[in-house]
Amino acid sequence: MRARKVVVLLLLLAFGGFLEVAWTVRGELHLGATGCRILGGRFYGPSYAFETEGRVASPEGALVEVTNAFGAVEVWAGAPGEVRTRLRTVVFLPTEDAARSFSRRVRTVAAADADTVRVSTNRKELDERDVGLETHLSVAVPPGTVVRVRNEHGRVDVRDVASADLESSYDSVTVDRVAGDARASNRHGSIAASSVGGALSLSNRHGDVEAKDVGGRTALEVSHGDVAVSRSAALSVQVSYGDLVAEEVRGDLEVEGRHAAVRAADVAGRARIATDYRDVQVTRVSGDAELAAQHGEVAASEIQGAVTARASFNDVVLSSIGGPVDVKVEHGGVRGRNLRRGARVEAAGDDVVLEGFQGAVVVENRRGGAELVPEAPLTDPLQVSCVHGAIRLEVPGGSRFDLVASARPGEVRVDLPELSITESSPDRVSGRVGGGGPRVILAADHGDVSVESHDSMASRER
Amino acid sequence: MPVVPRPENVVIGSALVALGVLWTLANLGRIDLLATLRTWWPTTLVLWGTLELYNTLSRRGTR
Repeated sequence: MRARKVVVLLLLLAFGGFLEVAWTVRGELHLGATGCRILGGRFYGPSYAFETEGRVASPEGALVEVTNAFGAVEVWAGAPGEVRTRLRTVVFLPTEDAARSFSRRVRTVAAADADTVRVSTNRKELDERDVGLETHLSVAVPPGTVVRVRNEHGRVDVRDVASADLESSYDSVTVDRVAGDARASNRHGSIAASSVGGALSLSNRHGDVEAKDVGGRTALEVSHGDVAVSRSAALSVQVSYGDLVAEEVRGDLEVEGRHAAVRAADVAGRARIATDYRDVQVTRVSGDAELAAQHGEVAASEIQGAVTARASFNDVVLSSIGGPVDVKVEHGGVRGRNLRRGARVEAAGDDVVLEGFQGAVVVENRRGGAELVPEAPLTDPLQVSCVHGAIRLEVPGGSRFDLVASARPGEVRVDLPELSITESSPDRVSGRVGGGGPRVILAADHGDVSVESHDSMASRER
Repeated sequence: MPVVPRPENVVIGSALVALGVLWTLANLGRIDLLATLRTWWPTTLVLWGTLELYNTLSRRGTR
């Protein structure tokens, strides 16, 4: 027998042995149909569905608590004074007669006391380990009811209730049109919440979360899933290993991310965002913005308040900032446009480019240069120091300042008609522009310094 | 002279086709994959053995 045949035969026998071992292990663990459902996500074989209905009187203002497993739970507003139930039982057995016989043993358990109506099934009493059994509960509750749902391995869908407290797993959770507060927790499934009048609290692992039209404070804790929020009040998010998109936040936004990209737009309050290994992108914030991305880029535009940005191994990009700017970047550069109230920038690893800025500016750059183009005549202090990079300053007409420019080792070039020089050497120039004013200090270490008027720059470009 | 496929190639090909079909049926919820594979995997040995016997007997007949 050739070696090739021996190898194939051994592989075949190993595969067979694996199957036998797996079969034995499954039998020893007594997984049964329910175990297969948990491991495989579904029951197997032919199935037959049966329905039963029931009702129970509900005391006014009573809480309705629904408990289920391996089936969906639907709750909506029905008639006042009663809780109506519909149980759809799906039995996985080879014949309809056997399934019908089994289904007769499955029933809804509904009981009311003074302040709680409890709805569930008797599936725990049944020995259904070897029979696939799904119990889908539809419950109509009185209008304005507080609802609590505990489900496993099944979808939860709740709408038109006073408040909701929901827990499920391995399927989706949907909550819609809740007058008051809503809380939902899920695993291995998505959560969607909409039109919630009060506070919203969502917690999810291994699933996406979507929330929209929330009247109260929104708190989300999500791992291994994407998050989308629109039209909420103050928003607080902890997200890991998924991306966040937040739009139209009518309050403060706080985000704590891990391996999460964050994109936020139209925040009415302040924005405080920290993440790593992905980027932060924020636009149109009415208050201050504190933004941090380790191993990621920070981009912010149209921020009315102050901006504090921290980034590493990537750049900070700012545009149209109404308040003071404070930026620190490790292993990255900074690009700023239309900074209206000055900036303090510390960078290392790439260039700092500020265009159209106003107010006092301080730039410290290690391992990079700086290029500065003020928006209006320069009348505020400017201090720029660069190591291993050149400095270029473009001076608009009408500027007034005292200039001290040095480059060691390097060359200082100043092309300003209004400059009255008090000291000049190849590596150092000082003097007064427009009669003098605040100090403009440009210091390059291992780089050149270039100071030119805006007009000469413009004519050269023409 | 017609090319006779190797028995092990026939077995591997058939096993792959069968595995794919069974896996698809399991994904559709029609069968329990483990139970089905565990029941039917020895048929690959039967198929292979039959092909080997057939080849051996055919070669003797042509001599």
